[in-house]
Amino acid sequence: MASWPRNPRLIGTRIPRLDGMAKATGKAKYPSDILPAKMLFGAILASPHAHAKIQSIDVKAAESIPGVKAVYVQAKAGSTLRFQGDFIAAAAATSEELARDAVRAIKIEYEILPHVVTEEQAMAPGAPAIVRGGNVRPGRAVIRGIPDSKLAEIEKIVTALPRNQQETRRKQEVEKVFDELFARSDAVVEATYSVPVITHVCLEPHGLTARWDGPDKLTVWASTQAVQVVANELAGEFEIPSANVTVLTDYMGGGFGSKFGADVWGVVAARLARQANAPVRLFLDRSLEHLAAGNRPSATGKVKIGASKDGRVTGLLAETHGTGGTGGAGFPFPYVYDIPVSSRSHSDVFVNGGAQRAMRAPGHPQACAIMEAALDDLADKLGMDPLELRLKNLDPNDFHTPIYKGEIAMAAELIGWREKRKPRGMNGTGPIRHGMGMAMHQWGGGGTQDKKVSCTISPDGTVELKSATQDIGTGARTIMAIIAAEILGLKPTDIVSNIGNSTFPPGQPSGGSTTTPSMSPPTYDAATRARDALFKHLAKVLNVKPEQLSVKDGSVLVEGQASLFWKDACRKLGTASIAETGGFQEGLASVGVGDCQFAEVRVDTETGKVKLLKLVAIQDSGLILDKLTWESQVYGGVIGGINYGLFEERIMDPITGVMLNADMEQYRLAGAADIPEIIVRAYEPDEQKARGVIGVGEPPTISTAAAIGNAVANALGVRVPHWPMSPRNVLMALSAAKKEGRA
Amino acid sequence: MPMVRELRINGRSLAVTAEDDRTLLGVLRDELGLTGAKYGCGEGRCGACTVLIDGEPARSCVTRLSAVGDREITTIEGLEQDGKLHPLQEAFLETGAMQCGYCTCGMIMSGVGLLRQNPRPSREEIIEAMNGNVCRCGTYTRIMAAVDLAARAIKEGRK
Repeated sequence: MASWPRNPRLIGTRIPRLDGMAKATGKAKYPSDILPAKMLFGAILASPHAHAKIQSIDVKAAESIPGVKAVYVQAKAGSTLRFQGDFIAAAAATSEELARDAVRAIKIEYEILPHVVTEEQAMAPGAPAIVRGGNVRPGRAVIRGIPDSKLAEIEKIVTALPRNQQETRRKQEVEKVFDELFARSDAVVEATYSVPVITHVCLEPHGLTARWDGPDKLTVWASTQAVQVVANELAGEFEIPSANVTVLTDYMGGGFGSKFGADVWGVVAARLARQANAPVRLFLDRSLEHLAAGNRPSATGKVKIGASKDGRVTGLLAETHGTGGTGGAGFPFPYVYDIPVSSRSHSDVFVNGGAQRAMRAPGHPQACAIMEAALDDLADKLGMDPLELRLKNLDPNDFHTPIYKGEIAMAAELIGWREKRKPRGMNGTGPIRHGMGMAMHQWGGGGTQDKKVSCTISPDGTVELKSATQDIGTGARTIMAIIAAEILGLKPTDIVSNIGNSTFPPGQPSGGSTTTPSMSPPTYDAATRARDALFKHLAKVLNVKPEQLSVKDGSVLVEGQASLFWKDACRKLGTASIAETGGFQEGLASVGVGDCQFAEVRVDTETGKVKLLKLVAIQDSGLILDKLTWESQVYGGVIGGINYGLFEERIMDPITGVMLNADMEQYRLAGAADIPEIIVRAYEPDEQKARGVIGVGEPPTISTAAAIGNAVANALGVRVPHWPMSPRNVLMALSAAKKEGRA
Repeated sequence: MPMVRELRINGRSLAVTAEDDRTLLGVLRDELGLTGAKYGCGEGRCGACTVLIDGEPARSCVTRLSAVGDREITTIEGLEQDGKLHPLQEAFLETGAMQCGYCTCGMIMSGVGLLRQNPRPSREEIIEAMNGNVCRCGTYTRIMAAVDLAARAIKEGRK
């Protein structure tokens, strides 16, 4: 078993990112900045309709425009277009403007097909089916905690019925079990909560620039989270050896889960480049980013939850659904808590919208919002502090539980929960109300065990790490340098961290909070092997034993005494560099985090505006390698959650079938003015550090929106059941409550 | 028709051949290789393309070449003076005010524009000046701190 140094010099301190200078001076070249000689500009023609069939497509006029060098049609006559933004064709020309002129000149006859673009539309009786098998794909209920004997009894009743009546009856019988359970409960909440579809809005659009360096040799500069995935896809598409495809991503402007593949536009860019015999740049515009480059599915949960007087949950019955456009919309539920009896059935709803993609902690923010809202409403019904209710329903056998308890205590203290929080509905009668709320989340964040890093020490003293991972803004490049510098007794700036190249040793795609836990062990291993190889060589030259050598502060030590500067030691290698490859080492990385966030808000009941005052985020992630980039990740996650909690939603027009806010004006994102005081703290007692490295990219974004929703409910005395907590949703909830005499 | 014109960029006079209706952003990036200004939304809403025109922050993605004339353009590439970074660039590095870095140049240009007009901005003034620049990675807390730090550094330097 390997272990991290017990008294590190660098690990766990605040180290600025190595590429900060390039980013702050404009010298960092992002894939969309690259302009190879003779490059042509690409433009995309995408479906203007939500659902249509191409009857005919004519590119003659487009091809005849001077300066237009290639036109490629992806969706030929007879093809069905399944959403606004579905890819049809692309053109390459000597200028961006000409390329756009070219795609505008493509003549298409469409047969417009009926569409459904909202869940309401898709689920309505008589709605046109947009996929085979219908717009709603129900899953079977997942039941926990009902005794097998009872389930067998239900199955006996059900199977005696004709097949088409079975599912309805099964549902009724299960509901009967819950009816009995809820009848014995002291408090029961029945409510429906929902979160909307949101889009990734990566600031750098998806796309790549492709250059053929020979008939079977391709170089691309791609804005991607996975250089090797893109390389393998392109190699497969063009039936050329993977080794002949080089994907380069020195920098990239955000992915959040949506940039793992070459995508249709990436493949088409390479086709156009081949056709035109010149490099082609093809990136999406902002509108297509919203429409076609992925989204986080919506989620709606019809939930019935009960508890006994002491705050212990008795059972949970949930029917959930969501849409990921033409993709699924699953999420884990129940979430975090120990629920003794539960039944959850989920349906994926299909609409004419772009397919969902992984987005920062896929499924979890949805699960968290619904679960935490239900628990909070339950606490209110019981007249209990929601913090106490949560403590009562943590699983005593779950390793997360003591961590949760420690974190909740920290967060409650930092936000002033005991002093400032008043029960729901007790926050005044004037138009401005104050509220506080909390929520909890969990995530995996473990790594893979098959990644490799090479470490080369050259006679001039240079140390270079290489791996085919990439830095998507998280600090991966810096983290790897810190580890090598720690082991080699150097400064992180002495290390060249060379990543973002698909031809390097296999590296981790940047997703699932797995990059750091995947790349740290092989980096540690490679640097250790390289150091030991250097020691072996020096031992001969210096006539000592390798065990007598060590490194510190840029020097090689013999028996603890500084003997040679690093550069002089490396010079003794002569002409041969040391090159070692490192792999997985047991004991350096781990998996599984669980955390909490608390929010404080002020709500104007007349305008419906929610002002966030303070956000406290406590996050564990084992051993933290760089506090500076770690905190950046947590701040960023929280701000992503603020966007989800207050602003973001994709708005579809049911009549025309188009997205009404496919831009950055109507699709609202937080700006500087929307950021509250954010307190970020690591939960890192020694036993957490001893777990090794765990990823942190995703978990801190999960519970923010849920905590904000609960704070708003606390302020208003009324639950706003639909996210975001926008003026519209707040005012709708207040008005509904007024009508029903609840407020 | 494309025409040859002189643009005043970063203290130099540069000749470009381009149509009147080309965006300044496209010309900077694809004709002059000044890629610090980025395309983010193409509608002046995200701030990634921010440059200074006569010292004022402007969205180069919605600025047509015809509107530039002989006004002085400053891009991120022109901030460095005598091998020294602008105090706001230093402050971004010191506070670690970046993640993916795609918005960073636009952020810095908006901040530099503010500091030129108002070297001692209040917190509210910083927020107002920076509010139109979007950072999807969520680095605002440090970006605000960086602008504040630079303002203080400029003040110290002038004493």
